[in-house]
Amino acid sequence: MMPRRMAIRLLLLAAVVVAPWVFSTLAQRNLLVLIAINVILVASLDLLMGSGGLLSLGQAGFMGVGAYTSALLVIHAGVPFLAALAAAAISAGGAGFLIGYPSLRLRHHYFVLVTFIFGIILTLLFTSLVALTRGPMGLPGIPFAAVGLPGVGRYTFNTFQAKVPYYYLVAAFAAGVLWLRGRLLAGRLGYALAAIREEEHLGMAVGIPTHRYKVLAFVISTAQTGLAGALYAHYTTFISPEVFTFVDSFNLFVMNMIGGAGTAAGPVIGPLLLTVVRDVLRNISPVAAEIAFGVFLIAAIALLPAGLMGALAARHRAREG
Amino acid sequence: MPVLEVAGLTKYFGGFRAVADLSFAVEDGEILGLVGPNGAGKTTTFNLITGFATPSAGRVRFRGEDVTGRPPHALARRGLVRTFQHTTVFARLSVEENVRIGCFMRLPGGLRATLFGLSAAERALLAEGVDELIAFTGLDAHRRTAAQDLAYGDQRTLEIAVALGASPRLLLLDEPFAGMNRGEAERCMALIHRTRERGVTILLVDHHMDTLMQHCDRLVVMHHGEKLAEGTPQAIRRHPEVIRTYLGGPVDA
Repeated sequence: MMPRRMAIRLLLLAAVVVAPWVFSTLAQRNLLVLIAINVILVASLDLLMGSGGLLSLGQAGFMGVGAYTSALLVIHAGVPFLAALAAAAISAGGAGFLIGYPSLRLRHHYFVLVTFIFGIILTLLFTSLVALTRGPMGLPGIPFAAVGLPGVGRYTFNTFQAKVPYYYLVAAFAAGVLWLRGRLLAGRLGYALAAIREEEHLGMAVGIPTHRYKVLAFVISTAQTGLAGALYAHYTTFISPEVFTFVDSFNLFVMNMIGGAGTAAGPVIGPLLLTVVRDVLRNISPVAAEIAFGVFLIAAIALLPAGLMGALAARHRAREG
Repeated sequence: MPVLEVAGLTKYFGGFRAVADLSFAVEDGEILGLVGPNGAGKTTTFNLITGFATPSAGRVRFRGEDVTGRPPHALARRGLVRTFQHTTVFARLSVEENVRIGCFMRLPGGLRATLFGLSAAERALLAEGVDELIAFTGLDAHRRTAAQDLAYGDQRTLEIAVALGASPRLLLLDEPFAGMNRGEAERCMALIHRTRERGVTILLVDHHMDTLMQHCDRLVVMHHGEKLAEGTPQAIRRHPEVIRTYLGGPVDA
C-alpha cells in the first residue's frame, strides 16, 4: 500500500509541476492559480464538513478577513508579505475562534445558521467600513507578493507579467495544507472529528472533549481560509466585498460535495473539476453557462451523492469485498 | 472507600422531580444493579452521575473526589465511563474503527505526535489494545463490518468494547439487555462478568428485576425517583416495600 501511495503522490507532484507548461495560455494559467487557491479553501472546509460533519456556510467571510488583513497591512504598514500572510491566518483564525467557541455548543443546524449569518455580517462589514476597506468600491493596488530569497535578493511575484512562479507558490501552500490535513486526521483530531460526525455523545463518554476539538478544527479551517484569501488578494491585487459573499461560501460547499466530502482526494478533485467545467461552459456561451452549470450540479449530486471520490471509493470497496 | 458515592442527588425538570434525594454507594469490584420500572429515574440518575445532566442538588464523588457537574469527557478521563440506553455506536464505521475511537485516550497527543505521527511502538501498542478488546468481546469475525450491519446483540457488545477502550474503573451500563433475546442476554451477562474480572466495577441499570437479581451482588431499587430499597438480591426479595410495589404481594383491600 505504501509504495502505491508514494507513487500516486509523485505523479500528482509531477502533474502540478508540469501543468502550467501543458496549459500555458494566460487564461489557463490564471485558472491554475485559482484552482490551487480553491484547493486550500475546500480542504479547509472539508476538515469541518467531510471529517467532522460540521457545515460552515460562512467560509468566504473568513477568506475576506484574511484578504483584507493582509492587503491593508501591506498597503498601509508596509508589512512584509510573509508576515502579512501569517497575520491573515491569525486574524481569520481569531475570528473563527470568536464565532466557533460559542456557536459550536449549539446543535448542528443552528451552528450552520450562525456561520451563514456571520458570513453575511462579514460581507456587510467589508462593505460598510468604508474608511478601512473603501467599501463597495473595493481595494485596488494591493502590492504583489514579494519574498527575500537568500543569495538571489528580493523577488516580486508580478502576476500580471508571470503567473507561473505565483502558481508554484500557491501550489506549495496547498500541498502544505493537504499534508497538514493528513497528519491532523491521522491523530487525535481525526479520531475526535470522526466521533463528532458519527455520534458525539459516545465520543464524550469515552473521554473526547468534543467541543474543544470542534473549536480547534474550526480555528484551523478558518485560519487556512484566511491564508487563501490573502494569497488571492496579492494575486489579483484588487479585492471587494463582492468576492467574499454567501455565493462564494456556497460554491466551496458545492466543490466539496462534488469532489467527495471526507475523502483524501476530494478537496483536489472538486475545485479542479468545477473550475474547469465552469470555464469551459463560459467559453461556449456565457448566458447558457450558469444554467448548464446548475444542471451539471444537480446531475452530479443525483448520480454521485457521495461525490466523485466517494463513489470511486465505494466501487473499490465493492470490488474488494 | 467506595468507587462511587452519590449523596442527596436530586433533579427537577421544571416542576417534575425525576430524581429525589437519592443516595447510594458502589463498592470497588462489585456489580451493582439499579432497578426500577420505566420512569423511575434510572437513566436520569445515569446522566447526573456521568455529567450528561447537572443535578439540581446533591453530590457525586468518584474515588473520593467530588466530581459533581464535571463534563462527561473529564469523568471518562478519571475512569467513569457509560454506555447508552439506545444502542449508541459509530454506526457507519467498522468494528475496528469503533474500538479505535474508544481508545482515544490511549493516543498520544502533543505537537510531535500530531505533526509526525505515532512512532512504530506507539502504533503497535494501540493496535494491540484494539486487538485485545475485539478478542475479549468476541467480535473478531466482524472486525471490518460496519457497526450498523452487525446483529443487534453484537452492536450492544460493541458498545461495551468501545467503552472498555477508555479503560474505565467504573462502567455504567444503561439497559444493556433491552431488546435482546434470552441467548443474547446471557452472552452479554457473561461478558459483563468477565469485564468485572478485569477489575472494572459495574453499575447496571435495568427494569428486569429477575435478571438483575441473578447477576448483581447488590441492588438499589428506585421508584418515582426515590430509593425504595438497597441490599443483596436475597434481602431485596424479602423487602416488604419491594414486594408490595414490584413482586406482587398480597393485594391491599
